[in-house]
Amino acid sequence: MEAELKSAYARYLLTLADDEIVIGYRDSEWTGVAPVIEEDVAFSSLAQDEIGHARLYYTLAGKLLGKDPDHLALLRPKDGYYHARLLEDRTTPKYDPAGNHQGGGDWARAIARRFLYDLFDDLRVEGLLASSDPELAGAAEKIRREEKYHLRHGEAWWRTLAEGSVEARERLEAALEAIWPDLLGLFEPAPGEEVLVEAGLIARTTDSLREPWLERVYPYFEAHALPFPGEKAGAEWRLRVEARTGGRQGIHGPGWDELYEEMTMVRRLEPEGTW
Amino acid sequence: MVRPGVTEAEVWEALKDLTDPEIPTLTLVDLGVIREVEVGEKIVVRFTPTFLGCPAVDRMKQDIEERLSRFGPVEVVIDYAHPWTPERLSERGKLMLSLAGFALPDDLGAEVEEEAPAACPHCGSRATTLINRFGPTACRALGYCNDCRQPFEIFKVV
Repeated sequence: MEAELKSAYARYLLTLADDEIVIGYRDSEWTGVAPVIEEDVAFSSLAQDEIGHARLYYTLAGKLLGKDPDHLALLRPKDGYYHARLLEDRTTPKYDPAGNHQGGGDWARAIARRFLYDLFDDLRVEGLLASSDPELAGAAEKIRREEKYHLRHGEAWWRTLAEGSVEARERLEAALEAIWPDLLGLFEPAPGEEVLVEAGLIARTTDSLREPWLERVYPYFEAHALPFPGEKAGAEWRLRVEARTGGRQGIHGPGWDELYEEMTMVRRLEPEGTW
Repeated sequence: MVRPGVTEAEVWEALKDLTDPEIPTLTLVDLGVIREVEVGEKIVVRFTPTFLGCPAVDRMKQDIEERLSRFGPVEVVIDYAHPWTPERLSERGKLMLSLAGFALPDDLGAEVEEEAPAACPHCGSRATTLINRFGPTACRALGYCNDCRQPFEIFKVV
């Protein structure tokens, strides 16, 4: 593989991996504090699946870069992670061993983010099924089968919140309003994606997934008369929201400051440690 | 170097009774996670996990390496290009799962979204409900039998 292609491919794999590890880590925080015990179990499994997918992508990137996947996951500099900003914020209440617990936390936000991200990720992974890298193609097939469970889970909760109590509905609407700019930030491409399309490694660039995603998510809003920040004008969607981007360039917010510290703490203390 | 004269059949024989760390009544061979064995300069075992995030993978790799170390150097390669599917379960594997109390969907090749129904592993009734798509491990879901009123675990069709 020539240098330019190799570097773009490694960067793309890291982007996939970072998205998955970050949402996986954040969703794992629901273990023990979800609204019902079944959801403690479900969110733990969802998180475990995503971190498994991250591990796979880090392994493939590691082969290209000659690096250990754990190193890629946990020992890069803070501005060297390329996940979308949507995924980095905490949605749970925070337990503090010193007793200064932070309450709040928002299940509706966790569900809205997870479901709408999963619908994006499904389209993205669909574009990897015919990859010229047989390992990525095989993995994409497996990932899609696993993610079907995530989508069914997300649909059920979307409906429950939209049609449930007044408070559930209000929280879902508020969460959606808050995350729209970051949802659109998902479509910020990684550098060099065109080269990957030409080489047949991926079928579509990330920004080209925006229209199909809007087509796919709109019916879920329409079915429950949830506010949607735009409408279709001819063949194109006109949205009243601006994307908040930067994540794919390593630019992140306070949610990442907090998460990076916590997620990489053990590994940074003892970089060569094993157990 | 691998000990001279070692055959693939011998390697398979040695792997035969290694079991799944999470479901110890089921062997790895019957589960279908070992795809291929090659004997060359070293022994290469191609392995394909049921779930990509399966936390038992490292343990299984280690078990395989330990078991085969008497033949010579061993490498366990995770084969991402050929993912595991439920059709890889052997007939004996299916029987062992059901004896261990796991329900198996009727149609192992079914698309996940069809929620293939499972018969209750306790009483055989078909009046069952899916309670949770997620269970104690990534590869299991939770069901409930409306006849014998017992919960049970379903082995996922992934």
